[in-house]
Amino acid sequence: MKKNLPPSELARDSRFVRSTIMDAIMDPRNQALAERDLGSAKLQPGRPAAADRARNLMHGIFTGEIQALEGAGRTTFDFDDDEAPFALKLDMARQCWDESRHVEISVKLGEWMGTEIGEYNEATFLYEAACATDPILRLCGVNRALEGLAIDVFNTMREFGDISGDPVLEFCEDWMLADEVTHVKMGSDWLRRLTENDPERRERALEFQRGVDKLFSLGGFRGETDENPIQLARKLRAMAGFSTDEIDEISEISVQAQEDARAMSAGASAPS
Amino acid sequence: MSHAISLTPEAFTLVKFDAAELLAIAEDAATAVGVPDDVSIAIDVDEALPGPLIASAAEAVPGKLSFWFSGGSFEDPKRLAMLQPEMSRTELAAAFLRGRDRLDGGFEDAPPDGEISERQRAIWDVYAEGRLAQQGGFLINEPRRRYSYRLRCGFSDVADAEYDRVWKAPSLSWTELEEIEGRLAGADTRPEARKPLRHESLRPS
Repeated sequence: MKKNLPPSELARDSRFVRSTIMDAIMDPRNQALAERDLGSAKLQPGRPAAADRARNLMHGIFTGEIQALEGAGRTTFDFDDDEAPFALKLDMARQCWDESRHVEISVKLGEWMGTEIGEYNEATFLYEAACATDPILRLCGVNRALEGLAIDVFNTMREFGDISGDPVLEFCEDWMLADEVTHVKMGSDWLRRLTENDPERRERALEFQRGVDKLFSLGGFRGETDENPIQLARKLRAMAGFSTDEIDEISEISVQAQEDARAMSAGASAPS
Repeated sequence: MSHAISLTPEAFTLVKFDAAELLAIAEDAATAVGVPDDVSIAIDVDEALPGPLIASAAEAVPGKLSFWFSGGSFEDPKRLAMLQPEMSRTELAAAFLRGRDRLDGGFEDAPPDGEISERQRAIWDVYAEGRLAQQGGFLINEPRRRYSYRLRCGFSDVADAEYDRVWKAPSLSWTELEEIEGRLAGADTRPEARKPLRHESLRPS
């Protein structure tokens, strides 16, 4: 079996259509929208088009779970025992089982909300964070950045279910959220253990995570203001082992990502 | 049959929609749902609003129906900024039915779309899409409609029973819709702040 599978070779059937994160950021409609006052961008049941926005996000969660499964699965296989301890691979195998259940739950939630598999396009930037060749970078990208984003997204969706009185959505998101907290803790624990005597490697891993966190902020998708659909879940991130300084840094990275996206969008719309 | 249909903008610049294709779909949808030939149709598409921001509004005066749509109403969810013909046909047909309701279909006294509650709009959307489902020939995602309705009207047995009735209703009036809304409001156990009020609109005022 091939090691270090590139995103282009992920197995998908004809229902799935790929998109890139740059397509979304460079969309000329972004600039037009930025010039309007559409009110809060938070994903809340009372907002216009809330049902379709929630359905879209639920499909994004579903494809994200597939990619998290693929990322954790590759980590159990891509590295020899001298590169990644067997116990780390056991953790990844356990995470694969969690992610598999999350995929199934997400499919059922999609059905509940009227969404078909492959109804929306799929961006593979989550899996791309799981392609680092150093297992510690990969754990930082997947378990701390990707699963950290999952905490923010699931918490937002759980609140959406709570406010709208949707018992199915609230219950399912709460269960998945608990798993994500564990996954982040796993990443944090292995980061400390494997870099205990190698501060340079630890800093490389954390720098990689900062880059992934910026990417995962998706030009303002996540943050702490009314302009961000997904809100940074500070309390749950703290439960998962993020320090206050680390959470503050992610918040700052999100602001930078939003400013960068605005500048890129404005540049793309400017007459040449 | 053919209708006098106008489309704004005449050419799209932010999305890759073909205006002529959308006009042809609109003509087909208008014919399919029986918009009279002597009723003109004006369609205004806000192409800056992408999917999944799906929203529309219908206005009617004798001899003329006017519609506003977000661009996301016609956008292929799989392909950024591309037109999805079948979905567009359904969105247009459902809006045309609501326009016909306002003209002479028992909704002549209904307030403008900007003034009705989210719950009223959700019921009306079920009535419109239910008729398309019964007529056949349209791309219908019934679970999507049900979820949108539940979000506005409540996740309860009472709400589900009303949904089933409205989905299959051969006819409905604004007065009857208000009565349904009253029953749904009475059965909605969610805290007051969680009940749908009229919220801000995507449509520029």
